[in-house]
Amino acid sequence: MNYLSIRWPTANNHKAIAALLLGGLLVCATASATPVVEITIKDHLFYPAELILPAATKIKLLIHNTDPTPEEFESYELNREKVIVGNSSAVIFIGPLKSGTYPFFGEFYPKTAQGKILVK
Amino acid sequence: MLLNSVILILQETLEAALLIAVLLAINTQLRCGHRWLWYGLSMGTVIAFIFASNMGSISESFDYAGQELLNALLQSMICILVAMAVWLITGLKQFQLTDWQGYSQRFAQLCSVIIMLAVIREGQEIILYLSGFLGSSEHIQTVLIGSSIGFGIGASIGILLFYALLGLPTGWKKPTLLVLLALFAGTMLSQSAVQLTQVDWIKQTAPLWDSSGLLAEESMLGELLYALIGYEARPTAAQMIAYATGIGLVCLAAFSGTQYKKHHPANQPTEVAK
Repeated sequence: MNYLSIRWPTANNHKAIAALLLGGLLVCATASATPVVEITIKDHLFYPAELILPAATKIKLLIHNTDPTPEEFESYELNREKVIVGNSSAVIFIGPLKSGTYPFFGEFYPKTAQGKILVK
Repeated sequence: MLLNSVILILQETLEAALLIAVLLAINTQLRCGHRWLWYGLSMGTVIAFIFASNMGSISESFDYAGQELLNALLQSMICILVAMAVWLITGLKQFQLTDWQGYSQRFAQLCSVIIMLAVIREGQEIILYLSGFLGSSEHIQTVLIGSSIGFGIGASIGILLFYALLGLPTGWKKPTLLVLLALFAGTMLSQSAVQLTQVDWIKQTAPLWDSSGLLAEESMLGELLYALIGYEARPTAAQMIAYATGIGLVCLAAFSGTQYKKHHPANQPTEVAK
């Protein structure tokens, strides 16, 4: 057997290669603890409405919607958008971010639901 | 409250309206009728209701990643189905055909499923938004009026695009429609990358550029381009790769569809009697 010859992918290991590529693309969450920051929505307001977070750090936002109505957390600057139904919690990962100001708002009640993240 | 509901519903309907316009233009060209559209819209609405009413438990599944995984799945499926649809309609001698080996029927069926998936995706958000006001007698009327206006504007833009596409010179029609489908497939895959990044299934990297100063995503033109070609002011590498993959998939489908029909000349369609 010639061990030096290059074996081209056969139909069978095409699948394996595809799985590898997919696996590489979907870099799963690391086991190391990601800091969790909690935000509460109450009466269509964010508490706290202003958060100060460290730069270059991945943060897990845990958002509790204590209103009975759904809300949509949205931020153009963070490129995030998520519906949170009434009386439930949701998780959104953000960062690592550069220092700066990242406003966010509740798309369903934008008049009152406004907040910002200051990254320092 | 009024203006907010106009904008919100407009944003949600615009993407579906533009997609319907493109698919309807192709189906009109291929004389496939429009029954597929009503099937897709109604099936999509029913399933969107089911998903919306279970959104709480969907969101909490998969360690709070359920909502994003569902969206990413819907968007990736749309991308693949669009590529399959492109395979069917490329390489035809005439871009007008009578039923050809059941291809036009299969194409219409694919369009039906694509519309269904798009309506599920956008519909559940509209349903959840409106459901929040059901109990409030002081706001519900304003919100419903605003939503109707938003829906009306979205539908009008779709109708405008539909007639603009049909009005294109003959030689421009097919390439324009195919390019729009390719960009749409790219948009879908890019959006699913955003969803997976949001739940940390794809690693967040710094945006490749920030063109929000030039054209803000939240501006009118920004929103329109977002819906039509997937414009993002701050795209990440993963998004760009996904976008390119979606476009590549459609190009591959177009190439393979053309080659297949070249080698199966017996399958060439008969021209429509004028």
